[in-house]
Amino acid sequence: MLPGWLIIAAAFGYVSLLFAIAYYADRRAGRGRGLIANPYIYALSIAVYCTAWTFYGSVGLAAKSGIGFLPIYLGPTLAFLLGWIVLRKILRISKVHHVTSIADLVSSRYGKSHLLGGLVTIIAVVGIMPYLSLQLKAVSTSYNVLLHYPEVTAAVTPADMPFFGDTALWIAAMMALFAILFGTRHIDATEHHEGMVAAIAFESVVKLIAFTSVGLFVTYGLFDGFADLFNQAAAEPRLAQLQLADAAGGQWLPLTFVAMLTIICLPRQFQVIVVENTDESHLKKAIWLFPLYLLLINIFVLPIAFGGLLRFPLGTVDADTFVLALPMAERQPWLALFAFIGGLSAATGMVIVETVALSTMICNDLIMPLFLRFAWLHMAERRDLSGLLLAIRRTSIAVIMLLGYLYFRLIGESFALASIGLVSFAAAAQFAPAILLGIYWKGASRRGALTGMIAGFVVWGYTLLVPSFALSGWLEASFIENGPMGIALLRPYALFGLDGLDHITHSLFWSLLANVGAFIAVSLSDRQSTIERIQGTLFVEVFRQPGAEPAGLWQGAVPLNDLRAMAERFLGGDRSREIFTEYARSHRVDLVHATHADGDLVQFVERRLSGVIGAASARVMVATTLKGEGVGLEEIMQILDETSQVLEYSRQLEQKSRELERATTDLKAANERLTELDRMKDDFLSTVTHELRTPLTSIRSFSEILHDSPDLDLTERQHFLTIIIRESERLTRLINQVLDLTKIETGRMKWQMTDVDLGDVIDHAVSALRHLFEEKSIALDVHAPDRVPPIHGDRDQLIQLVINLLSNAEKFCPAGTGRVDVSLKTGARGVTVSVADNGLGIPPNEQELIFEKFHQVRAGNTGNPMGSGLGLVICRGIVEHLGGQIWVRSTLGKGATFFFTVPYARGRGDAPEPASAAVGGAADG
Amino acid sequence: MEPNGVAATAGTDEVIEPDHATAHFVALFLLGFVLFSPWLLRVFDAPGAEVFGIPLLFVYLFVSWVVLIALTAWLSRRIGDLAAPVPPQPEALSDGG
Repeated sequence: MLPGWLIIAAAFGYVSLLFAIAYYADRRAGRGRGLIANPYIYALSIAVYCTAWTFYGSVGLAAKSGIGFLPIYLGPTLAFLLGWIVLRKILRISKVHHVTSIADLVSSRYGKSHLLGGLVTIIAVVGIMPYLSLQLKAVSTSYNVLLHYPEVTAAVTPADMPFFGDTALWIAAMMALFAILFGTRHIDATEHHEGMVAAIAFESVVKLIAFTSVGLFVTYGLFDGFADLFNQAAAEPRLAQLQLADAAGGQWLPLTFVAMLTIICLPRQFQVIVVENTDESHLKKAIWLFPLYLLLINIFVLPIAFGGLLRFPLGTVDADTFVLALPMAERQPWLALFAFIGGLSAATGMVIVETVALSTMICNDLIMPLFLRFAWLHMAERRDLSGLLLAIRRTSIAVIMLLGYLYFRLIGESFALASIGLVSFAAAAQFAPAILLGIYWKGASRRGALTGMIAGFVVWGYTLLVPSFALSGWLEASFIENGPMGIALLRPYALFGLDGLDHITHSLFWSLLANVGAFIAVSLSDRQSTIERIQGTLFVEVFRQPGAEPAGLWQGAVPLNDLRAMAERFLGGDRSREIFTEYARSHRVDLVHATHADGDLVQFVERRLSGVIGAASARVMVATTLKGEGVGLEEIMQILDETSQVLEYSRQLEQKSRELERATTDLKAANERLTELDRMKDDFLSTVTHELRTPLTSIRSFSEILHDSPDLDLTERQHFLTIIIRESERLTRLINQVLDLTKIETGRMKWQMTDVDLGDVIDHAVSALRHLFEEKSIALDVHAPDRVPPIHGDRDQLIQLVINLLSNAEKFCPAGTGRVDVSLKTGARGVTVSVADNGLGIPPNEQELIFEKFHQVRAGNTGNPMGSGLGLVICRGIVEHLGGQIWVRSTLGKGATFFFTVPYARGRGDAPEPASAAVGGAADG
Repeated sequence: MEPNGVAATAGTDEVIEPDHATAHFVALFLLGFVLFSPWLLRVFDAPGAEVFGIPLLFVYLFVSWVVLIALTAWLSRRIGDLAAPVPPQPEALSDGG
């Protein structure tokens, strides 16, 4: 048995637990060790999206339309895929501008407009009311169903019950109390409601576990797993129909779309995603954790819906109560009670956050601006306003709950849960154009947003809200059937003859069309005021100003005491002093002895104030305070204009300085390179001089010997002269090579580029050196195909190249047994020539270095240098100029092989048959 | 050889937002949109088609959902890497200067 007192005790016990959690989290936060500052709590708090609608209504919807309940959860999943882009931008904007609610965001974007803030608040309150009443309805229905345990009956209508005997009223009162205690504890709304968020996160866990428990019970307790359940459902034609996509009807896309928009536009979602966010990086995890939560809570929706439809005869039990009714029918009192607690947690979470968000909006964007406007209230002169602010918020919470309850009593009875919720979704979607266009389009204007939102709201009211009055019997039914006064074109469910759509799609289409259309049309034909332009730029380009607060709008000196007094009125003495100290510390200014505040400080205070009373009110307050100092509207406008110019100018400056920075970096790099070149030049010079001195010295000393010793015999004389001639030749060669190298490196070499046959080049070089090889009896063989495709190059330089390599090989080959092989191979991209010798070889560590200037391989450690050290450098210069490569392979003691490649002449794409094992494929010319 | 080639100029672009991830997320969103579009649902909406006794349509929806979540998780882990500036390429000391 489940007596009424047990259910009530369980509900109270659960809510007390929430109180305890919230209290504990608040205490921890007070001591600076917050519970909520982690991405998991953040993601769970976003799951406040799943309300009683999800818990009970999804099953109800699934029982009617199969997968038709899913778009409400697929939409947010899609929206969160863009979360890192869109939500992060809104988060950043809200942090920079101390945004406290969705109304504040819109008002702040469009020039801190009171009118817009107020309008958003009104739309939110009116639009959300059905949604709030839905939660009350769900809780009250579930209580009444549970009360009749174990008998499953159709729900008792609360209208039959006396006012004070209605459980829904007491539930509403309890929720209001929680919201007041933990949602309006602070004066500064940008501080986080740690306790509330912790409780919400806990509720998200409870509702998920409760729903999954029921799902597991139905799937594996009542049935034999998913397969059995779906098989039994498929056997009944009525249920088989639900397993098809058609069951979702034409609502699929519109619902996905509206759910995408509302995930950020619902006041409570904005509250948990943006206002309660403690760290932007938490979004990184939340963008996949939240969709994961949605997935998990939806797995068992269809099984429960099918289970209920199979278990209960058609029409005897409301599908919205299957989650409770199934455990009850199976005599599982504790599971039923747990399901009831799950539903309760889903409802309370939503109601608490929603009322707190709405009360902040009502206070900051509706009541405070009105109070400030009416001079006779003398608000601006009141000593302490913080108490008043709290009172306004607390009263609003109570009033919102009462209104929600009344709506539930008077109207909400006649609808299923899901359709009530969708009415609110369509209302919240009206904020989307103003927000999304506002953060990406600087041209979106205040009047545009205002017109669009009013148009959308009016159409929404006409096509969804008013007909719901008619359906509840508050208006004549003929209003829906025939239109007002019989005008068929104005039928609220078929506006302008748009027939055949479901009500939500129909309303969404017309309201968003009116909203976006009016918004864009008016914005385009509008002239924005300066403050709108400034705010628009600050919002759209929020990522361009990393950390830097934009230049203040207020110029000139304001008496510091006036500013302090104003801050104290709203924030209280302690908090106000904290703010000024914080400013003094962060800006390194002395405020103790200062008499006047500068524009920056005024701006700073305005931002902090906007955290309490909203951007628009804060602006008015600051303006009235300053007005006493003779800053008139004219002057303000002038200041604003100047400021926007300054902003523009500073942006240009920033750009310039960035360009300068880049130029500096380039210059620095160039300078480093020049220094390096200079050093290389010095090295080069000293080596060249050294190299020149060696032959010169020997020429001079042998000449001196000849000169001083006239009595030398002929053979000796002949020998000395030979040395002198050889050394002179070496000197000439060296100088020629230095000249060549300089020409190549400075680009002054005159290249005579033609199509060259490399085989011909090799023949030429070989015949030039043939006698040299024969003198030392070194075998010289050439292996080349008959026909070599031409390459692009300078013939003389190529001959020089081959001669250099050949004479290099000759130098290192032993006389008599030496052997040099020249091979030519055609590859896919070019011709490869190799010159192999069987000489000394090159140590591995020197193989790279030999292409550097003046690096000489010495014959052993004590041997003389055998070349000038420039030949290979010139070779490399030639090859690289022709677009090829040169390298060497060598084993010490077994000779060395030099390779170079030169690409084929351009325009000769078709490579000939590769004569060797070259990689096949088309040449790229 | 031009000092500071393409890589260097791309790194100092005036957009401060280090957002190489944007394109990835937009692509993922488009994928999600296509997967959940009513047109593709029709493709998997075959009466009688089942996977382990569960209607193909349901399996398709939930599996696509899981895939999207997994891809988002994978991508969000990489945001840091993607946002990191391209390391400057070391200039090859060549040509003998």
